[in-house]
Amino acid sequence: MIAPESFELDDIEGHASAVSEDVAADQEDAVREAAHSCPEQAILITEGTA
Amino acid sequence: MSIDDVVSDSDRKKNRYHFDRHTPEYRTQFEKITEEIHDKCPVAWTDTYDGHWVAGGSNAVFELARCPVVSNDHDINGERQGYQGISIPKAKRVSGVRGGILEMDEPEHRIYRTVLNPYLSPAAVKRWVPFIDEVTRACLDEKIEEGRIDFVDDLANIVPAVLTLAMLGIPLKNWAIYSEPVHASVYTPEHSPDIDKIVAMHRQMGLDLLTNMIEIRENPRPGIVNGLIQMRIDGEPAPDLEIMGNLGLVIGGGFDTTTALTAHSMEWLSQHPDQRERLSRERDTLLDSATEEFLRYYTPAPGDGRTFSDDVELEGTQFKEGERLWISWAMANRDPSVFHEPNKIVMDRKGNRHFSFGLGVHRCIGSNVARTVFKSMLTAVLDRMPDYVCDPEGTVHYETIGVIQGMRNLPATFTPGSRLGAGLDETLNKLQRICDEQELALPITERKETAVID
Repeated sequence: MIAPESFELDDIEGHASAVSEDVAADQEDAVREAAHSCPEQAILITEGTA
Repeated sequence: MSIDDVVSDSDRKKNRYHFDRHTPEYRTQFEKITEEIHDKCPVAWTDTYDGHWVAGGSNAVFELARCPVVSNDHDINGERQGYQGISIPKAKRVSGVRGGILEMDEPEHRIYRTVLNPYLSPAAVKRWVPFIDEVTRACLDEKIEEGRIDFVDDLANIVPAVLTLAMLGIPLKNWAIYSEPVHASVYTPEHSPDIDKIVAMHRQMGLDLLTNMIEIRENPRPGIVNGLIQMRIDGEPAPDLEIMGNLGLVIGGGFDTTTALTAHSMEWLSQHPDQRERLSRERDTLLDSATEEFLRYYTPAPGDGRTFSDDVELEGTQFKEGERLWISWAMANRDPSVFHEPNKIVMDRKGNRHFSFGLGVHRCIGSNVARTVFKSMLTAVLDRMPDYVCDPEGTVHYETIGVIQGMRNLPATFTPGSRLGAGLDETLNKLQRICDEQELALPITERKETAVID
């Protein structure tokens, strides 16, 4: 996994899901790379002002 | 409807390209053919094999693979629409059995896939890592003192086969009954003089599978075979033919694909010793991305057939119900709009959203088995045979790559080393005992612990 701290894999089905709604600042690059690399293009990032 | 609404066939099929992936030229001219398809027509019509569409552009492949009116169904007995599943042309040898979940549509596909998932999910596969490493170790020990190995025959054909049988719940010592016919039937053309021998080996494999199924039905033991026997659809057991089809899919999907990926990667690393040294040294950061890059570049399963189940327009092309379609993962993997310098292996490639495991609901269920087994074999070779040199004279690629882009032989020499443990037969006996005692083949829902090798 490209961003193992931001996603978790379901043990049974193997599907990935985000661990939280907000991405920690130090994980932003990894999450962008994960979205860029997702073959199903299933990761959507919403940029906000926190 | 006015006359203007009627689009003639020649208009719909104006993007034409003569495409025959079963010819040797498709292998030797792969980059040129791929570039022509990308340049001219992301989706083209070809007259080969009674006519079918070919999707090679990444957007077209992405949309078509996920399109709800694109069907995988293989209607063997003509009970539905008569669709022909994922092979173009229909494969003669396998036409009597449907290819498991890969030749099913929803909701049937989901019912069976739900049974298979807990055996093959990332968490489920992770439990097998010590087992896999031990099979790899034994394969290398068989050859380490000699200084010579055939990476196909002596390693990459064995480890995936042994693991697949273990997961199924079939005795490990039977691996050769399964491995040989699966491998050989992919590279042997129907007109070959060897075909009778291979058909006979295939029959022997089918009999062994059936024998195991009957045994497991009488005396259940853990594994995918048992999972499929125990499942119920509206209170009824699954039909035997569908169980056999799914077992055939797990075997066919689990064996030759990982073999093909491993052999090609080993060959490339032999040709690029500086890259091999770098991969070994920086494996903590590089192994994952290099694995995805080898998957992209070599695409062991180069594509899948489909059938349109309704009229639909996509990417500016109108498709009609009943028309056949070839979705080329291999060509999408070389699309320059997604992959910078697509014909180059870049081990630390970023944004590598490759198509090698397919897309959508039919995405490869064994992807994590493939990655895990590949990494075990590759890292063990890097550790124990770091200076290996492949012999181009003895290297045999499949003549055609219509089904699997694979290799028959990849001999190599290296500085001999010392054995670390027992040979393959003795190791498989031990691993069989461990499988039985620890019930390793239970689904992740019933067993979470990693295998312990004593």
